[in-house]
Amino acid sequence: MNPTPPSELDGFETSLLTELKSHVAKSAATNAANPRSAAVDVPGPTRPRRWFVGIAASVAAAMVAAILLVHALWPTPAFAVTGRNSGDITVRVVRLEGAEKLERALDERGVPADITYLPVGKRCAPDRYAAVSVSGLMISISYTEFEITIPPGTVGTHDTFVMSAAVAPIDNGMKVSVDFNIAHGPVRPCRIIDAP
Amino acid sequence: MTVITESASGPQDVAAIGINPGEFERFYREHLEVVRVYLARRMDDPFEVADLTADIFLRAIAGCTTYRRELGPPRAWLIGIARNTLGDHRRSGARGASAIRRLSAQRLLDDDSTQRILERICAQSAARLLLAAIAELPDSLRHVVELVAVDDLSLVDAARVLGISAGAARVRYHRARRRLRTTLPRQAQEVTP
Repeated sequence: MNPTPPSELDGFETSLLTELKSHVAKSAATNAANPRSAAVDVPGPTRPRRWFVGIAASVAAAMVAAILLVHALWPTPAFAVTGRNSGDITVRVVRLEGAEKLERALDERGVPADITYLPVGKRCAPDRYAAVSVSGLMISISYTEFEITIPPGTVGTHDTFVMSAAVAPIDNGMKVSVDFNIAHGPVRPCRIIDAP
Repeated sequence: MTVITESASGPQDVAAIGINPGEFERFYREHLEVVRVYLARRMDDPFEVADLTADIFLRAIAGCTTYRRELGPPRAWLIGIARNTLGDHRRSGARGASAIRRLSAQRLLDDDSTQRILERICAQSAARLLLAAIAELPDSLRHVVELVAVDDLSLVDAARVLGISAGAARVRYHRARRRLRTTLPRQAQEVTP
């Protein structure tokens, strides 16, 4: 059966959509505060790409971890950064290469960054920095890339955007794990530990 | 909040509607008509329709990670949710349903929207006749006929909604049709595929 064409909404339906979207955003924030609940089980790579969005919780989100299966074929380039700290900055990563270049690209846009790409099955120990309470920090992930959006002004004085990511091959694609947050003050080097 | 604008969404993106407001909006716009019609065929109070519409989508959001492609298209999955929501509503009554309702949607109704719901209810009189005609069928037969003849699901998708085999659904459907030939008005028979 063919999909139903998108509906024209009346006043009630528009208001309801707004409230339901708010409900979804709150659920996403709750999920973001709980890395395990943020995990997404994505079917095999023969299916179309799909998106996962995590929104860092306003207070409780010390770390956001998103895990899903992605397609094994990575297009180039490795990453792209758009925007400046006066507006949204979007970090799009399609291949875990060039961490230092990505740090420089973000620094040029006024965002100090600490980027770490990790070996298979590893993660950074969670005691590297003091996290800043932020809202609106988002990630979306597809089979082929992930994209983090940093809202304007999120990274303040003495703050650093911290991201670590790892890719692991699985039966029908790849599993990507991404931790990201805003740190205030010094960020200690990544102490690599086994991922759970 | 940033809106993710890029999306190659499809039926497989149902899991994202619980965490991505943009994906939810796409799903809502694509499937709202299914919910409109489902409720217009079964309810006559626009305020209850409003609340149940919200309840159905809230349940879809809460249960989106349980959706699997092998369960059928999202439309069939959503009809299954609507069916359960309405069943719970009728079993517990409006008071009981509202006690667990997280979003009282009828407060969002304006006169124009209320009138539109009433018009949809009136427009579904033929389906109401059919529902009335099959009301006396045994549950096992009625559920199949309702999903196929009233909600326009395929027999395979109706079987998925009911958790039975397609063969069993086919047998039940034809048994029901055999009975209904003697009880259904002609126009109702013509609704069946």
